[in-house]
Amino acid sequence: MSTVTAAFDEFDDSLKLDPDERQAAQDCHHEIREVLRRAGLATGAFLQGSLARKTMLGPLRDIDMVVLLSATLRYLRDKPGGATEAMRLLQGALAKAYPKATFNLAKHALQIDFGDGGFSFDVVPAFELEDGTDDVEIADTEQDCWERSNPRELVRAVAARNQQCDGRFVHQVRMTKQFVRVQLDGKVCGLISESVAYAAITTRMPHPLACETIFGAYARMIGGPIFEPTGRDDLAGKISSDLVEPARRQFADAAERAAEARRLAEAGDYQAAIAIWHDLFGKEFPVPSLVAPRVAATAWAGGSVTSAGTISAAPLGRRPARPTRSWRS
Amino acid sequence: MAELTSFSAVLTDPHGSAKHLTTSYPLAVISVRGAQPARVMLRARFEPPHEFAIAGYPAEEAGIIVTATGAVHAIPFNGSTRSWLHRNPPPLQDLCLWYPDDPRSLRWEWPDGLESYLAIVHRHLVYEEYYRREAIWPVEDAPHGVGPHPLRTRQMRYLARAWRDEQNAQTRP
Repeated sequence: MSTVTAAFDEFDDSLKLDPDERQAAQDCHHEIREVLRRAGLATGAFLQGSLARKTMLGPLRDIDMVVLLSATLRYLRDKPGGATEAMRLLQGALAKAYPKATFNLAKHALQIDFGDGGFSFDVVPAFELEDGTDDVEIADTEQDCWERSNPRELVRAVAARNQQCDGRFVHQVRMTKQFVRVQLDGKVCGLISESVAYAAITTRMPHPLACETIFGAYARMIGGPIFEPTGRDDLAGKISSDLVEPARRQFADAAERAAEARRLAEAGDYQAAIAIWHDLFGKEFPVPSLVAPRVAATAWAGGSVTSAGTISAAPLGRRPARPTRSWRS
Repeated sequence: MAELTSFSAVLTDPHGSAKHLTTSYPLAVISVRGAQPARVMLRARFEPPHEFAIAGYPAEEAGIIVTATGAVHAIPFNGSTRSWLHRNPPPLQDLCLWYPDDPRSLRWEWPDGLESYLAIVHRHLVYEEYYRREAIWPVEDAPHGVGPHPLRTRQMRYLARAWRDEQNAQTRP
C-alpha cells in the first residue's frame, strides 16, 4: 500500500467527528424536539446543515435543526411579527427546560447555547409546505416573512453524490474544509466548499487527485457564481470581495502543489509528497519521516527542492537542480 | 511551465526578475544589490532544506553577479570566515559549481534559466557546509585542476545520462 494512501487514511480519521459526541448531539436534538412537542409547539424536527450532510469538521459545536411548527401556529405566517413571535414561543418553552442555556434571536434561527462543554443549536422554526415538495417555509425575522427553503433536498443531493463516489465525497469535502481552516483562517463558509466540491467531484477518485481537482475548481470558480448542490441559491455573495483574489491565489497554488505531490508519489517519493500535504493541511495530516542530511545530500545531486522545502531524489519537485560536479581551477 | 529567467531579463528588469525568482524558488529570497547597464548584482538568501535545518545548518547568502556578456558568478557572503572546498582563487573567489569540460547535462547554461543556476548555488552552499561537518563531499566532485576528469561514480554517470535523455526528449520536434 502506498504510504501516501496510509497518510490520507490517518488524516481522514483525524477529521472524523467523535462518535460519542455525535451521538450526544443527536440525543440533544431529540430532547429539544420532545420539549417543543410536549409544549404543543412542534410536530417534529430534523437536522440540517453539515452535521446532517456528514460534512462537518470537529469540534462538534454548532448544530442546525429545523423545527416543524404545529398547525395551531399557522396564523403566525400571516401575522406581522410572526417570525419573531414563533422564535419567542420556542425560546419560552426551551428556557423552562434549560434554565442555564442562553438564547439569541438571529435572522433565521433561535440560537441556543448550552455553555462551555455543551453544544449550541440553531433552531429554525418552519412550516411544511403542502405543495407536493418537501420544501419548508422558514422564519425570517429581518424581513418579517416566511421564505421557502429546501434543506431536505440539499441533504439528499449530497448523500446521492456521496453514493456516486463510493462514499468518498463527504470525506473529500471535510478535507477541503480543513484546508480552508488552516490556510484561509476558515474565512470561506463551509457550504461554499461543499458546493465547489460538488461541482468538481462527480465520480469516485483517490483523495490526492480529488483534493487537487477541488483546489483547481475553487481557483476557477471563486469570484463568480457558486451554486449550492440543489442549484437554487448562488452563494457568491457569502464571500467578501476583498477575500476573492487572495483566496484564488491560495487555491491555485494549492492545486499546483497537490499536482507536485502526486507527481512525487508516482515517482516513488512518498515522504516528499507527504511533506507537501502536511504543509497544505496542517498538523492533522501526518508528518513525513525524518531524512538524514547524508541521504538528502545524495538525493539532491540530481533531485529537487519541493514546495515544502524538502529534498526529493526525483527532479519533479518545485525546483529541480541539474546535477553538476563541483570543481576548482 | 513557468517562464524561465533569461540574462537579458535580469539586465533589463532586475527588480522584476528578483521578485519572480523569489516566488518560484521555495527557500530563497532574491533582492537587487546593485544594477548597472553592464552588470547586475543580486543578493540571494537561501534557507536550508528541512532535512538540513533540523540538523542545524545555517541559512546561506551569496551575491549573484550577472554581466552583459552573459557571465554569471556566485560569491558567498562572509566567505572569508569559513573554509571552502570548491571556490576559485582570487580575485573573484566565486563558487566553482561545475567542471567546464563535463558533458552538457552536467553543466548549466542560460537556456536552463537563472532559476536552475540558483538551485545549483543553493545546493553547493549546503554541500560546502556538509563538507565542513563531515569532511567529505557528499556526491562526486571533479578533481581540482586541469583534466581529463572522467566520471567516476555510477550515480553521476546515471544522472548525466538521465538529464541528457530528458533534455533531448524536450527538444525533440
